[in-house]
Amino acid sequence: MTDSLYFRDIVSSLEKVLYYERGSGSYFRATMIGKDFIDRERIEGKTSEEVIESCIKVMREKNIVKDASYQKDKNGTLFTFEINGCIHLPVEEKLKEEGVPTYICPPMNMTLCKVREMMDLAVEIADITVNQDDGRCIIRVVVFEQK
Amino acid sequence: MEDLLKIIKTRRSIRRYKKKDVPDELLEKIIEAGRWSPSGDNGQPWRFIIVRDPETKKALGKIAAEGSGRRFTAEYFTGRMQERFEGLKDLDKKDKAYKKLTSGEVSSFLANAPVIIIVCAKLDVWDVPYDSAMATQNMVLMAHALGLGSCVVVAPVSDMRDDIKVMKLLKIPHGYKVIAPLAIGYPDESPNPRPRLSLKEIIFYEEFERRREK
Repeated sequence: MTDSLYFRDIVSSLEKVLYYERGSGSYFRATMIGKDFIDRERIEGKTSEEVIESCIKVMREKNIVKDASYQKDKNGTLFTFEINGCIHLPVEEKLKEEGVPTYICPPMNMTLCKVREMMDLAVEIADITVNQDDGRCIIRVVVFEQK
Repeated sequence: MEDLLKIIKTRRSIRRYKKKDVPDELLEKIIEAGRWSPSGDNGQPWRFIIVRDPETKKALGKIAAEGSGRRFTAEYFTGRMQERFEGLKDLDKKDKAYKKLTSGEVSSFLANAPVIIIVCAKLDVWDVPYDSAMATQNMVLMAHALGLGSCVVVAPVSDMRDDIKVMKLLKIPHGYKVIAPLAIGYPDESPNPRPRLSLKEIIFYEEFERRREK
């Protein structure tokens, strides 16, 4: 998929186009990217933790990511994910070269879409940090009950 | 000319309205101002839905609050909101501001507007965002000139997750999109102007960042 130069170029160009149209607001237009993929998979879980683990398992099996883990803060609201070896890294590398910040994380979108849908919780990505040197991304998200 | 600049400079985003309906004739004047906006290729992508139904407004207010609440909760838990309000020394005010933002209350006022005009746009037109934004600006200025208050509330449509709910609620077909709900009513507040960058900061000559020598 995105490891081929062709798809890397096409996906990064599309991301760049959106960024130049919407600036930082591009993130909000891209929150459902990845949903179609994860909707085709069998995701199970009775708690948000189980749903997250189920999503990670699928993404590992489908070679979307090599590995992923997370930690929660003491309030149980802020989750810090670490994703290793994401298939989208080459896209982000090209975008970085062209001065476009990372605003989409499809693995996180997929996971959060499922947490939202299955647990009826509010979810939001707070920030995404991509470290190209070791192929590791840190994504901070909030998961909470919205009154 | 001075009158026009006065209207532009005294317009505010109004979030609190009197419980008084806005007559159709005034709404038509507002939409008439939008209708005469510049439009690339004269595509006129704009379409307008006038919403008065309390249930629909309530639903829009809820979607708006959810969108803002998520975004600001993320900002709060990462500490970015605290950085943004660093200059505010009154702790009570600061706490109120955090609550207003993280609860989404900052956008839920949409439900209490007497009227909401939903600015929509047809997509098979070349300059959709430009045309629609110019129409919306004409409308807020006309509302102000008529003694009404208005606020462009993008919270329910900026995120795709919310946008699709609004599309469904208002039965908007494929090939169209919502640009922004525009809350309208008689103002029940008079906010101070927000700070603006000076002309000196934003004007360049002949090329970017080149300023005029003194």
